[in-house]
Amino acid sequence: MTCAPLSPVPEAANYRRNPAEVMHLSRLGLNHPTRLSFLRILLRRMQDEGWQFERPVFDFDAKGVGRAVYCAKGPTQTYSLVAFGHDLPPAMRSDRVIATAWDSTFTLFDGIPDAADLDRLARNVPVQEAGRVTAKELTLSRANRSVRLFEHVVQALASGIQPDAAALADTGYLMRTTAVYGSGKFGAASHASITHRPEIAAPFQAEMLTVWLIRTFTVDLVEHMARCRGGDVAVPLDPAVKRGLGVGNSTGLGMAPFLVRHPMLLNNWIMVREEALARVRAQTGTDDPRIKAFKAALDAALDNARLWNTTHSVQIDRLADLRSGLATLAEFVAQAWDARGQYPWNTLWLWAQAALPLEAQEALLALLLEPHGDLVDGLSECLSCDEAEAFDIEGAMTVGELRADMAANYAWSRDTDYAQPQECARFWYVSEDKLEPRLGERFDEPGGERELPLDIGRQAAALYAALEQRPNDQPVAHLLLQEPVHRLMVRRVQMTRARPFAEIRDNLLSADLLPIDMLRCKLAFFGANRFDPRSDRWVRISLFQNCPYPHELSAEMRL
Amino acid sequence: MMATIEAPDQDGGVDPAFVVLSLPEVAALALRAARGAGLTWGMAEECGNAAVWLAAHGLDWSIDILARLTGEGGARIVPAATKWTSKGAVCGLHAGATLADFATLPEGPGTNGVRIGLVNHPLCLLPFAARAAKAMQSSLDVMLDDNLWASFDKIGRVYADAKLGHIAIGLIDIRPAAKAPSFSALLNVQSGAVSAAAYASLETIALNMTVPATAQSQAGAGAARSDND
Repeated sequence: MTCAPLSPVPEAANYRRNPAEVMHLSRLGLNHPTRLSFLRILLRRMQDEGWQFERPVFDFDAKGVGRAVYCAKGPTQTYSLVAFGHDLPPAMRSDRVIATAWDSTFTLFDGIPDAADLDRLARNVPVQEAGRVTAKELTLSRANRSVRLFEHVVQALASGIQPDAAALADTGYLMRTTAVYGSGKFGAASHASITHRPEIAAPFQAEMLTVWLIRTFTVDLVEHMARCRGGDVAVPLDPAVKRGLGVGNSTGLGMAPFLVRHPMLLNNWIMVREEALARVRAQTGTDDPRIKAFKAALDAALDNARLWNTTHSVQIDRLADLRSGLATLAEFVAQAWDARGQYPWNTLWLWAQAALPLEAQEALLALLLEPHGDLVDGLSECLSCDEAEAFDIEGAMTVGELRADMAANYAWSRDTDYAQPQECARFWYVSEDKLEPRLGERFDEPGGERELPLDIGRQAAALYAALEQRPNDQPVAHLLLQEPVHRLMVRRVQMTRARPFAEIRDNLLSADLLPIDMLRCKLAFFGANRFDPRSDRWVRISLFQNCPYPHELSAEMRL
Repeated sequence: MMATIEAPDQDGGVDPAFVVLSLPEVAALALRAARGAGLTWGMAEECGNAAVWLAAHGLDWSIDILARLTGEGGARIVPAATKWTSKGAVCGLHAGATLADFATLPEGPGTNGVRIGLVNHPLCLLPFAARAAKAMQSSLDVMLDDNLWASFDKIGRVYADAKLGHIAIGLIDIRPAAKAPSFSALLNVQSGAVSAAAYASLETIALNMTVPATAQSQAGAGAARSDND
């Protein structure tokens, strides 16, 4: 994929970072949300198109048991979040995908559901994976309350007072989703079947809309329960406090293989981000409004870093880097940066490469995009792709051509000795009970013979070795016939030949692998922040914090 | 002992003897079952893709793919110009993949066509014939036991009897199309119904690519921690 022919900044090509610098988890794992993150794209579109929002159904008892429907009406299509509230005993509350009951369950309906639809959904949505939805539904999701905070907020509002703002800011949400299933899962509509709709074309738009409407539901529910408990004494949440609430999300290994299984998408996401950065760096000068917007974004980032909490040792260190790096950046911007000089943004970027830790460098990337919506927002149209179009193997390609493609994109795979125990310490597999991806310790746990093909580096190295025995002019069809084990990797090399950002250039079997880096890379593209790893393989985050609610969208400054 | 899987209940008035799957579900199930049956990952991907192609054209993919995954794999194929050789019937999936791989090479259908030979469950081969036609940018006819069975135009669109039969074994020839297709084009659909029994069988085979959870893996996934905060 390339956006170069359409670029308003053709000279940006001279400012792009090298994939060899970008595509390691040591940097991908420090990804920050930007204005090209999927939730920002969704909000911006709904704002630009003047979407309307309604809540035709909200029928809950004092315990939060009932159902609600929230409608989002766009220019041509309406989407409805259907929410079910349940009375979940505390002992059954688990954030992990292995749970079987939840406080609330949701689906995003394509259109406005009628009574029969709601009855059908009431039978299927609350049981999640054990039920079935249909092509009328786009997502399936569930969420649990942040128990202490939820009860505290209900009790405070019922008593006529505002809840403890510090406690709310500390957690940042009233509910956490534990899964948001999309494209075709459990009978839902496939992404491919609706991707012709402009509002669905960018990645994960149906999922983002689901979560954004869930956010409104969580606040509506807490205010409703407070009214039931407190009657006339009850008060609604202070709008400023409400604004700071997002939707929590707990994400584990299930999400990690996505980036490996979808190399074309990963390429597009990274390529778009890198092109956006390059366009900004290529600007010969700037103006006051942009400088002001950049400084406002920097202030917000400093606030965000201050409020970001974690107890995980890796993230504690990274957070320290972020805070000190942003402070150094703020000082440089205030005292030393020549914003009136030639190529001011590139000057700032190059200074940061030498002066800031990686975590703050990647944060700066997001800040540089913020005042440049006119230059970069159009790139959101380059994020998606039709993966089916590159599935077919070109059997007539010669071994020599395949070798050349590998030299361009897979040379990194030869730097590792995959026979060393520490380089094949892990294996990825699908668990029998939940059909979810897991990571095993190869030398301690059974199942290594059933591993998933996430060992891209090892497979590329094996393909290199197989090609050494073959003449350059031989068609790869002969290799595939005689050594079919290389079929997956041959397809992949062909698929990624013009896609230099398609591969994580690390050994994903290594004892040193931190799966949370893969999770953060993907979640930041969604627009998540406040990453809080709970182990090396699952992480809590927040979505839509400090974003407008539906009723605020039209009056908001352009997003 | 291998666990058995029951087909999920349908809701909304659909016959409970059938399961309506979205195309991504078809792809995932066929891939997992193929891998569970011991195919290489690359061929398992082909199986998933072939199942989606068949489902998207309104054909029941599950019968032939299930038969292929539970039966004999088939003999080794040796492609050659005009006539491929093998010591017995070949697997429809493997013959199909080989056809797509060699489509534009001398071993492919070219201008004179190629006799593939006896193929087990030849319906599995049709998605690959579509790819071959596209790669060759040439219309192709698939002959079954010397009768026209399906035609493909040069962009891979298929023309066939909408009730394409589930054939256990047949003699397959691929030829450049002599005339315009005599069948109608099969329409694209977005979901596929399979029998509950086939669904359950495929899920059971797919379990062979999964690993039972251990206390260690559960803990790693976060289950050991309370979320009541």
